[in-house]
Amino acid sequence: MRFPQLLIFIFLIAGCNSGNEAEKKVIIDPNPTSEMAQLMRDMTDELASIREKLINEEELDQNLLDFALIHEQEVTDPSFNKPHVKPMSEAYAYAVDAFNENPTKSNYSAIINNCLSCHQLSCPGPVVRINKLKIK
Amino acid sequence: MKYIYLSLIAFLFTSCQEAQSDQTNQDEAPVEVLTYYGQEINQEGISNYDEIKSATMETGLSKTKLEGTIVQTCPKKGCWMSLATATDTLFVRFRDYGFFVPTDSVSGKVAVIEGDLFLDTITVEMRKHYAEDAGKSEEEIAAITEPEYDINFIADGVIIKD
Repeated sequence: MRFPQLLIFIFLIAGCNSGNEAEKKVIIDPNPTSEMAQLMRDMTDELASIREKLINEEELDQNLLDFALIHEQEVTDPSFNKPHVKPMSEAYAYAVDAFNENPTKSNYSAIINNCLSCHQLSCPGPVVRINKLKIK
Repeated sequence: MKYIYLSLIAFLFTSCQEAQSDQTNQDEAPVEVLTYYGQEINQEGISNYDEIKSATMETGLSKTKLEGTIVQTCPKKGCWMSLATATDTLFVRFRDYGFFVPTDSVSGKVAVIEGDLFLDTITVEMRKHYAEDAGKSEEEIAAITEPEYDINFIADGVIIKD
């Protein structure tokens, strides 16, 4: 078969097959994302990246973390606005500042402990995920 | 030679039209729409719930695939759902809080779940939290004073059928 004929042949086969393929869409979160949920996801990604670097004994720069204040975010549900959130958010910000000044494993662990303490009181669902951010 | 090529092209074109026509006919018939959450799973090899439950009571954990009807999903975040099987209503959470299902509009739909069926202790704090999520009254939440030891499910992937 010559080249032009071969091209037509391939084109017809490909065109015929394309109509039969059903695309499967896999959803991670079908629900609206609040400011608070987005901040939590961004912080998780950032802390997971820092964790890897600390485990690999990489030298870290100062002032790596720049997070918005948790208690100032719009929440997914009003029931998440509990009295302990503001003081614990301030304690978290303090721990982040300490890490920014001195990015050690110990200061990183203090941040993760803050996450755990607050979630155990307000929304324990993500605790299983936060536990994976610990450095053992 | 030219006629052979022309015949081949005509044949392929006709076959293609027929295949697409069949597809169109299938599209017109009522079709089951599947929506996938978390890891992509399929509907092959769904276990009999009673059999896998018996095995799990012996071993403590079974990796399995089950089908049931959604009773409720977490109305706040979509981070859990209750699923009625033939005999029990299972409490289903999603692996590592890694994905979510719709917070509303899926109760009564059939779902397939794949993951771990296991014996689990849910602490009083977690039971109260889930009760709060589910919109239970303060009295109902205050009445939770004991941990629950029951069979639960952690899903890696969920299919919801429409």
